[in-house]
Amino acid sequence: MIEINQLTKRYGSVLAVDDLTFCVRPGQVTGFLGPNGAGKTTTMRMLLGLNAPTGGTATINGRPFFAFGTGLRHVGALLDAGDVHRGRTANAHLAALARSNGLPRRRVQEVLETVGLGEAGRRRVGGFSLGMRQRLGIATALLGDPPVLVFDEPINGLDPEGIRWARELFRRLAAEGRTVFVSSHLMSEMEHTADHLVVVGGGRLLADEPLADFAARATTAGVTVRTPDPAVLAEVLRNAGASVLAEGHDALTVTGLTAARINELAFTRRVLVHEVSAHDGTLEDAFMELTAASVRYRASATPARSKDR
Amino acid sequence: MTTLATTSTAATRRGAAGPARRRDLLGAEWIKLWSLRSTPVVLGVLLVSYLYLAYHAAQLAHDSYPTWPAFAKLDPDPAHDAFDFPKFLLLMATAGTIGAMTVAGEHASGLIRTTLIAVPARGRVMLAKVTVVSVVLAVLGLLIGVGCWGITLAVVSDRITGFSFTTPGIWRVITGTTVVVPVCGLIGMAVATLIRNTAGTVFAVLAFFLVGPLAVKAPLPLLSANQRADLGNTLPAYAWGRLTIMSHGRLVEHVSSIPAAWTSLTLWALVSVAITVTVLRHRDV
Repeated sequence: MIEINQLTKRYGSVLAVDDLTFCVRPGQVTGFLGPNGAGKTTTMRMLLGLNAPTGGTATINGRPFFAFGTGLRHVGALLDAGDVHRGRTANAHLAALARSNGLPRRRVQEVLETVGLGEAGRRRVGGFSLGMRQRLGIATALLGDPPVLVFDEPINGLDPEGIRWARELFRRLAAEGRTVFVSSHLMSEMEHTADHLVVVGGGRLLADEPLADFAARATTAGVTVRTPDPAVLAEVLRNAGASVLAEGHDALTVTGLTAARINELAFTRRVLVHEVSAHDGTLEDAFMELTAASVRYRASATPARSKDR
Repeated sequence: MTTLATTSTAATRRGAAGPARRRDLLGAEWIKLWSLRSTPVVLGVLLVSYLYLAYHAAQLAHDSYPTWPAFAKLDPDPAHDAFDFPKFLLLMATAGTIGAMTVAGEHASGLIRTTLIAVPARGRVMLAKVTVVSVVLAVLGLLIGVGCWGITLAVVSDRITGFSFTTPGIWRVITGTTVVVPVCGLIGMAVATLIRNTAGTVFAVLAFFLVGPLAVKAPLPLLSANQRADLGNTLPAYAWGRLTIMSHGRLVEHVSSIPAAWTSLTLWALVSVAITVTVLRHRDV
């Protein structure tokens, strides 16, 4: 269980994390989403005691991170796959970390095999691809067999097979009753992985709810229409009360009307259409809407600009 | 692929509650130091080079001995050749750089974050690193000290007699060398802790060890000659230099006393350790 309580971090005039409060429960994968610069990494760093918060607390199973003598046994974390010395072999890197926590040496080979690097232990990390380094980082997190796991953008650099493997791993870790907290800036990564979502934007909490509830937020469910005459059709549909967005030279995205009604209108006004397809709002849409709002919030907070307009 | 359920065994749960054990932290730093290929290479090259330099100097003294003036033959000082000040300035600078790199390398690579996630007790992690680096450098200093003197004795003893490992003062020279090498490493670690940037750290370390001893001999503004000498005597290089003076001849320079030299080295070590162990505690990494 991870508890973030009124966590705040200020760098000079920049408020990187602003009064964040949420909770990550065991037994499920919790996705931590937000656009670049939303404060995800800063939050994770404060959780892991690397950065001191300006205010608030972050605890793991009720204790601040620095209260753990042997971190790896309590929390496994991958913050940045590059946080290794390139001159060491994977074996030596993991062996030093295992030794610092009093873990048996055989754990090194075990976790390397778990992440598919069983053959690469003797190779120097400098020669690893980004994907291999991500796997090594995941191996580091698993080393102490911890009840809580924190991954910051773990999918970066993994190939499609690796992405599927990582998803399955996170789900399996959660199924074993562990707390799994995974950050990403891509909704599509979380869609098939997370049970619960924590969404941040501009350092603030935007959503903290189960994946299904989050999906229900998507309000942009609409209809895509292809027509050789988009200007005329758009006029017709707007007169009927729809909101219309041009997409390319021959397509419109229409909200506020059903596909059947759009077909009817096109037929009665004699406008040729090639395609009318309805689509549900996606998680991606819900995410974009939420985070776009947080971006607008930041822009409108600049008074000089708003006066000009 | 094995499942995690099978890899999580009772053994990994051993002692899960308590703080990290000191010997585990030392073991981790030991692995870190020796798993870098540059460590055995640099330490090996240093040892061999200094033994060779001592051999070379002794050979020169041995060959030229018949041409020495009578007063020099009366009071030979083979330790002066074996522990040559300018050559050892370079050893000190190198030891400082080695110490600095053990800290700067960890910051530059970002490994420090991985290390501190594994063991959140920053002071204890740095203390373990300080201990391992000091011990390794002390062993290097001891090997160089004993080796240089042993080689010198072997080369010159048929012509320059009366010297051995029991000559009064020689163990002060060897102990001084054993101490000064890790002290320089500790200073390097402290500099790296403060600066963190690799290039800046190496520049500062080399400036301190190579330019510093020369700078205090130059006519620095605002300081009198005596003040410059006092300042110079506090530097590790001149403290070591004082410990290696074995000649019975009169000392004409403004030098510190033997206890003052030891005190100076001790203070450098203590202050450096204090910086290395405590500064990181209050910092975002």
